[in-house]
Amino acid sequence: MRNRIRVERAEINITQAELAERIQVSRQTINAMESNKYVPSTILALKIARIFNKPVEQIFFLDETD
Amino acid sequence: MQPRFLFPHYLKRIGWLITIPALLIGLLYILNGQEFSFLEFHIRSKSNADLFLGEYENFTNELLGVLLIIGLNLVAFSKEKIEDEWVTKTRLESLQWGVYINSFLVLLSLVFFYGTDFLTVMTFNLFTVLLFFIIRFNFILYIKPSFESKNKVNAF
Repeated sequence: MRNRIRVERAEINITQAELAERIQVSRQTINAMESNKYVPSTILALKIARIFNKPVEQIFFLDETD
Repeated sequence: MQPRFLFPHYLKRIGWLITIPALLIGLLYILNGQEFSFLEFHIRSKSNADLFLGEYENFTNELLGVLLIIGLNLVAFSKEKIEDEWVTKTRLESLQWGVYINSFLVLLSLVFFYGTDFLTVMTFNLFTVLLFFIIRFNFILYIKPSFESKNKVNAF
């Protein structure tokens, strides 16, 4: 799975640390997701989508290997 | 999602406070045979004292073992400051890692150590699974990110 978290974050101009704080995870978790090393749970994906005010599908995408 | 079976975060620090002195004293015990005389107890009568067991038993090694097991478990299984799902995943992954490395070393020691040497190696083995786990887990959580942020600025 791929995601647009880094881009979305740049658009509303918040840092990894700020996003982490708003969804109550560690900064490393955000970093792991942005570098496609970690696929978040549905709960976390929904929380992230809510911060960016977009549906989950506009932030997370399946890729060929999924 | 609340992780289960973990100790509260403040116990991690207490775990370190127990583990580090126990490891240092343990090192002295292995290298110098350092024992504490106040831990010497008379536990057997002369009549039934075994050929290989004295009347007195020094409990330094027993105490070290108990402290290490308690300390290492507290360090290993206390919650992190922010305990989220990625941390939980990393914890389980590191545990698997620790078991793999430990099994590999057990395999080597099975082949290369015999008699009392093997016994010594197996004594270390009581603690090494947790030790490898703790090293790997804390490396991923606290040391690796500092390398990465030096290499590229990704936090804006």
